[in-house]
Amino acid sequence: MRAVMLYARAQCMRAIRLFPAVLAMSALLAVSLCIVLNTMVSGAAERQVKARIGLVGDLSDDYLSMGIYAVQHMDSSRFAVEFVPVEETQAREQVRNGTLSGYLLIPDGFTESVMYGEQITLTFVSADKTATLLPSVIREVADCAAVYVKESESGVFAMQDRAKEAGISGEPLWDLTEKLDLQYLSMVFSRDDLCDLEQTGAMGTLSVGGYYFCALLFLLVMLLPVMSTSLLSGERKHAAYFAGRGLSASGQTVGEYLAYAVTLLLLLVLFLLCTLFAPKTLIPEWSGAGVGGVFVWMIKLLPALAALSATQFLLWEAVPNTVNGVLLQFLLAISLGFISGCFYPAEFFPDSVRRFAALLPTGQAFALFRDSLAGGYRPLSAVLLTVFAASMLALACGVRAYRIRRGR
Amino acid sequence: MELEIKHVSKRYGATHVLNDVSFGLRSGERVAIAGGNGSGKSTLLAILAGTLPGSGQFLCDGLDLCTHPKERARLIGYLPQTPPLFEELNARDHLRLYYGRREMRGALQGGVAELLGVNGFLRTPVRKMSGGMKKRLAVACAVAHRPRVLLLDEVGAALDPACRQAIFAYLDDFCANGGAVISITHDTDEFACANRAYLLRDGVLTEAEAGR
Repeated sequence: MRAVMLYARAQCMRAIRLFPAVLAMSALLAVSLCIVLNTMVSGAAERQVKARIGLVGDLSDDYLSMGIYAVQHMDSSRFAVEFVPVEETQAREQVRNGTLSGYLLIPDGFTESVMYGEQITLTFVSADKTATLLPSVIREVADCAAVYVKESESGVFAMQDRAKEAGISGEPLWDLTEKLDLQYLSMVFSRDDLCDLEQTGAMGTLSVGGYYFCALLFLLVMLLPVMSTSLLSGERKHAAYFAGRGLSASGQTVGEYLAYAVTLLLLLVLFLLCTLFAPKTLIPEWSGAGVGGVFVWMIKLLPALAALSATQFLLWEAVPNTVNGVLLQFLLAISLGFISGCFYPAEFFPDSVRRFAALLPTGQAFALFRDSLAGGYRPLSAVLLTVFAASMLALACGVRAYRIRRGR
Repeated sequence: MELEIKHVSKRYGATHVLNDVSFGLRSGERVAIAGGNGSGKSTLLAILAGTLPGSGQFLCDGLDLCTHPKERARLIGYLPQTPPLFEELNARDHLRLYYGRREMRGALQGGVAELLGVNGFLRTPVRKMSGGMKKRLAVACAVAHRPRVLLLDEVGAALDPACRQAIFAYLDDFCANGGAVISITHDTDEFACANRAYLLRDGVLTEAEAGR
């Protein structure tokens, strides 16, 4: 036991001496991952801007063009929808080739018909071959626009009729009309305030920032062996020597694993402490969490960290060649990270892939990352991951013993 | 103490690296084994030290150390050709790994570490050490548990005369106190210091003329 303790201490000292290099590489990796994830998020936002809707028909009416201008420039929907005046033949062509998401057909005399309270219909045309979410949303936006325009115009004319019956005309009537118009506009423009938006489903109970924060952390853990090559490969050549001196394969493995775990924990603590300085809006779940919160979260993550690091350790032990080991670790980190939902939420994947990912320890570990950040916890997952970590470590001991026995 | 190496063999596929190697030695004796590159010298020592699997027996007063690894670890001090040192640690860290706190103090004050001059570079990381410094540190580590048999693989190679003198003086002292040394060498001086000498060629061991 004393030999194991001494060996573990020596390995921890090695880990601490090598830590600055590991930290520097991890910081570089974290910055790169941040850029990649940010590009993905902003890429999605750009795609939203590109939802273009064509407007076909007579747009010469002042009221109508003012309404379109208002929606496009003042309403929050301008981030998602762009209205483009276009000829119908062009619009059809552009819908077919995907330049336009669809177009609204505004019939001749639309404004006049509204003024007289007639039932008119705005037609929305889209290439609805694909049953995706976007056409439905666009259709809904168009429906809303149609209802707003029709109903509000009808409301204005109804009010004017009632006012005239009551003997109000001239300047006071225009004042009343203007007041009602402004009321309608304020209802349209401030419709964001009508409800609170909560993002659930695809991201679980996490915000986008919180989700990708977990993803970044998870990938950093998954890629740690690539950055700790010097730490992990250092012991291999001396394994047989220490075995000859009476230090068992299990003792060596435990000692080395401890050093690796120390590196991982130190790295994560530093990384998490740095994220405390990030803007609160970036990771809303992290707002209000102090240094204590970091440590509480780390404790919650321990089973997941143990499972991931023990798996990495086993893989490193099983592959004798350093270059092959690094490549294997890298490829596994990226592929398992992808399937676990680090790059895209796993909920977007087909059902079978999702179930498979959830069965994998990496999937369980990532779920634990997310749940514990969201304030929940999965005790069963934590127990399973701990058992899995112990099994991986036992296997690593077996592989080390085999290698020593075979003189490799 | 009576040591007997019996019928040690090793083969990689169809190649016989060691072919039924047998010899013996007693307490206080030094055995030197020479041979060309790839003749199996280091393999023989690694098998005796238990770091490489092989067939045969390594008897110490009738007890087969190959089947008693704990006894082997206690009785044998092994210094492979490449010293088993960690690049990131310094000399003091290495001594801490092998010595208890009290033993380390003893080694540094009048003990083996002082004798080999390890005191002079306690804080130097291994990656900045010269070959001689590494060898001296490795010897100090190999004898930390007070073994009775030393297996040394080219301990005098690439050392300056003063350093080699220090190590040889320590080995003389070790043998005088009842230890036994099996060393592999290309060095004629070391060959001359041995009580018995062997030549290993194509895995076959033959006795040669020793210096003592």
